[in-house]
Amino acid sequence: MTPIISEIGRAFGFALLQAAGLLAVAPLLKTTIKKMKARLQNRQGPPLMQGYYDLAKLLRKEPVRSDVASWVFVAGPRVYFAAAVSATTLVPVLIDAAPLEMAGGILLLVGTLALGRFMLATAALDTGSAFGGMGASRDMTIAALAEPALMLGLFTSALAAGSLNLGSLVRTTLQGGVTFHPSDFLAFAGLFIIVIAETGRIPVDNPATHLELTMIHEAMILEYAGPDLALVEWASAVKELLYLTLLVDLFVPAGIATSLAPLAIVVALLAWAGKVLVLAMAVTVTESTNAKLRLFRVPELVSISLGLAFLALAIRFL
Amino acid sequence: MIERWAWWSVRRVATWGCGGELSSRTEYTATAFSKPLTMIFRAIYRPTRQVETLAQVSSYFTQEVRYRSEIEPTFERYVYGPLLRGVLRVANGMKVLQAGSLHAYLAYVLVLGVLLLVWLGGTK
Repeated sequence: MTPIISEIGRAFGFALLQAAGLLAVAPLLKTTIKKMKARLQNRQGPPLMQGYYDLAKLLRKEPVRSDVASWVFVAGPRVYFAAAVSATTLVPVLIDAAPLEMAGGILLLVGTLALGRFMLATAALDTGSAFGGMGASRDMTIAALAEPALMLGLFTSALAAGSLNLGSLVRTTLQGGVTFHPSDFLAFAGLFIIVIAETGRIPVDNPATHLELTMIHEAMILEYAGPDLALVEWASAVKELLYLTLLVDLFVPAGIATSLAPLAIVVALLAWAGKVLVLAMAVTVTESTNAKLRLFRVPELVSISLGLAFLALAIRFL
Repeated sequence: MIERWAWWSVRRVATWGCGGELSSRTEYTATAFSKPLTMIFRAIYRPTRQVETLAQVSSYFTQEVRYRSEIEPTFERYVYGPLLRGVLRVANGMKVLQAGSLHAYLAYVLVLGVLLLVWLGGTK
């Protein structure tokens, strides 16, 4: 009995540690992308700590809510935040195991993130503002298109490793080494497009826009202020970091620690940070060299991703 | 103390409506919500829209606007409809098997149940 309890205790401790770590780093990623984008436009950009300053400012502010909003409006950011944080416990970051990998794998991860997004979209409708409805409608449309492509891309990796569990998926990929299988490239390209779409980046959505009519994610959270907004912003940052970590895990897990030796952890930390930074650069370059697509052109982009993932899956079967 | 109170208190204000009045008529409807998906899958849904403006003196002074929007019930018409009709047709054909007394059928069920109980219970 006791070993099981201590096992569970260790898993939860590990989960708390990993969630706290990702929560701490996520604002930095957001600011880093902003900074790199600014440098590409010959601007100075914000200081690297700006993400934390913004969150601290928002958390200190007085929450302002609409007088017609119900509990759904209050629950929205909280469920969104909780979903993002619990999703971090299903993904291996530094060690070749996810803290709560016995709880579920890819399907639970996608489902948890979908739950958060559903609550936020429902909450956006709650204030009666047309902008919230517009944002929610667009966000759900893109989600409905992107999710099948995301699942297909993830299944390609799962098929190669023979497991839907991210922990054992990483371990199998690590054992197999880098194979340069063509399906990996196709699945990576497909998933990269989906990561762009899911994290609300140009060419799908513009995170820096001030025009309500071009907003998607921003329109959905337009009515939030103060701590409520801080939760949404923080959770979005965590989600972005999580998606980049997922790409790293699935395609280039090399460097991840296979033991708890301090040296291995330090190496894994450096490797993870480096790989996420490279992906962040790719996101930045994509964002800086593309124009935002019209909403009705987004399905074309997503169908490219769907096609790539489908091809990858087919090649994997051959 | 006051600052702490300020952190917990929630200010309630009206939803921002670009200076306009918000009411149930300005809310997002289910039709509007699902419109992007309808547009993307218009090959399946075949949405049609008809806007009619009625004016008496000049077209600048609109008296009435009639709006009509429709989608093709593709799945009902081409999937569920034929399926339902097929099942009903088969069921209609099978009716001849069951044209007798309902009491007799219930008696058959009872007798069969007892026989099954005796048979299966006996093997144990």
